Amino acid sequence: MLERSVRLPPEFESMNWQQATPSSILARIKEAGIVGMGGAGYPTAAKLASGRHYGTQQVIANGVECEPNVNADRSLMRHYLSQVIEGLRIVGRCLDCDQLTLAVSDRQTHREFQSAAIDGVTCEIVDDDPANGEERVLVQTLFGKTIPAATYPSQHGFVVLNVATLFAICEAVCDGYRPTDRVISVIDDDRWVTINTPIQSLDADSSTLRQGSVATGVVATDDATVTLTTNAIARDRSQLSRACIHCGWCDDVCPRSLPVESMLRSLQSCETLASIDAHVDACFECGACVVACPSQIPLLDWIRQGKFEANVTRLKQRARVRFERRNKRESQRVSEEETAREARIQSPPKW
Amino acid sequence: MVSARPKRATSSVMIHVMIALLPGVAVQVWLTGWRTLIVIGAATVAALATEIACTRRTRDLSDGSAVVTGLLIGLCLPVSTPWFVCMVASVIAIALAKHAFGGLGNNVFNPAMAGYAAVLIAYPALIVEFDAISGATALEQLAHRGSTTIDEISTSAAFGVFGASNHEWINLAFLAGGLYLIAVRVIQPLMPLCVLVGIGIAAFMLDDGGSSTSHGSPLFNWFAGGTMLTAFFVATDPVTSPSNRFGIVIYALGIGAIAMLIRKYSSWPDGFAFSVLLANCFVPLLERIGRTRISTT
Repeated sequence: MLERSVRLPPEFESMNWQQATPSSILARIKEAGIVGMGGAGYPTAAKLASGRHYGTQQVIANGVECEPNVNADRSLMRHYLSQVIEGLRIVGRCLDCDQLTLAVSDRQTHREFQSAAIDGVTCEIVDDDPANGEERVLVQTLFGKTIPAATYPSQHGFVVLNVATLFAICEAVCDGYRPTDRVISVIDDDRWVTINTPIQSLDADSSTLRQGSVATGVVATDDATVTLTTNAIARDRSQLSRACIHCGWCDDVCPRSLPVESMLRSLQSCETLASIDAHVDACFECGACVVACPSQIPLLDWIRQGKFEANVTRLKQRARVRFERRNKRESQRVSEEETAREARIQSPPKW
Repeated sequence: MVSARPKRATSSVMIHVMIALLPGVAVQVWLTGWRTLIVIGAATVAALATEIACTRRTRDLSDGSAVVTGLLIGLCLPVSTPWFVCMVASVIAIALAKHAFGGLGNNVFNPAMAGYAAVLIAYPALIVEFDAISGATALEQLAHRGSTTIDEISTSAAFGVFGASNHEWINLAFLAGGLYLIAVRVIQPLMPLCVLVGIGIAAFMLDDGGSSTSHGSPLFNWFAGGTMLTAFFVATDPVTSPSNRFGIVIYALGIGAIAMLIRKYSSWPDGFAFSVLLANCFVPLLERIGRTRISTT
């Protein structure tokens, strides 16, 4: 299980990170092009630079994998725990921080970690709740510190990195590899998949696939390929969805306490309400509502559509304001010129 | 890893509801005889047939909601109801109250209660709450009793140990079924609790110790008529009830209190059908008032 196909030879020289300077480690991570492999795709070097700038008290390895039928990070930790921990240590060295935490959500990984007896890293177990994988929620759960939605945890002394990212960091620094493959949960088995593999080639049986989990993934287009941020490929189940019965279970599970149900009603009836715009923007797409929905409605598809439309409306609004200001300026200029000309005509000639 | 299949799909919710209705059906059959099954069967068959007719294109009955609607109508109607009245109630419930509004999820009024209320008004002579055993039921006697006091009337056979005779056991069975629904997390305890509190408070305030205008203690009213059936199975219909906490409390208290007012001040013996339909009217308003505010963190 977890057979890895042959890769290109390492691109960089291997480093002895214990002796290397933090800036040279950072340069290597940047050179290798590592991005957040949990899903956000934020450039890791930028996150670490921000962590160095603001000062870091905690580095957290995010192995909390709470999306439906996604097991990729778990498999990675089961087979490559030592590399993940080494990646965590490298980041700790890079940020001059010795508070290292591995957060997981399943007991088996927790037990394996305990039996491995690893020094200097604590392992925390959190609930298997769809929202807990989000970094701000995770910091809140583990350390009770609220990170405002408009800021990054790295601005508050917390650097949260996905375990797959840490594995990639370890390989880039210790062995000199650029990340060219990753572990992905394809339907229900986990395997190494090379980046840029066409998604449709991974499962020939089904017509519609989702890039990501069944709850949070987006419907894959025909030419979609696996990227560094793809953690799962799932079969689309939106065909099975039924009418909303207004049970309110989506509202109950939403970690942001958004009125998901009334949002859905507005979005389905194509209302454009200013209040809905604020609500869809606050959604961080954890997929908890999709998991809870008894009618299997693809709620996130609707919310993403709403986000897109809200954005278009905002851009249009901005364009209109620009246009109106410009018109006003122009008409003002024309009228000023007019008065100046009038004045010139009225005034007697200079000679 | 969270399981991808929802723990509580709509169809499995309806199956749980059917299981929870079983003890009530069993007790009703035991107390009032096999004729109950004809009433329930006629209502259910008519509900299913109407559902098939209304969803010709999809033919998707697997959500089970039509069966539950038919069952509820059958359980509401008294044993002596002719079979065609049961069928009319189900047809009105499914065709007019549900599909005319756009099908499952879009109906404003609880289909079962709309169908029941319609035949209650259309065929008052055919739907009389007669118990096979004791003649008129306790609520019926209270509604049309002249000037007898509670003490005089409660010696009659229509009154049981602590509620209405027979109805107290049926209500207990529905209470058990409702607790099962709470245990399997299909419904939350807040709504039935508030219905019972609502009728309890109203009964307590209207109870003057047993004079000729009194209408019995809260305990009597909890175990008479369709109290438990409404509290656990009718009011909790997700489609026609508010989904926010504030709305749920107001809606459920309202159902209980209005039902008690109808029991005492109108000529209808039991008022749950009308109180549920009245409360349904306020659901859009309650949804709007109680809508959750966005949290800024």
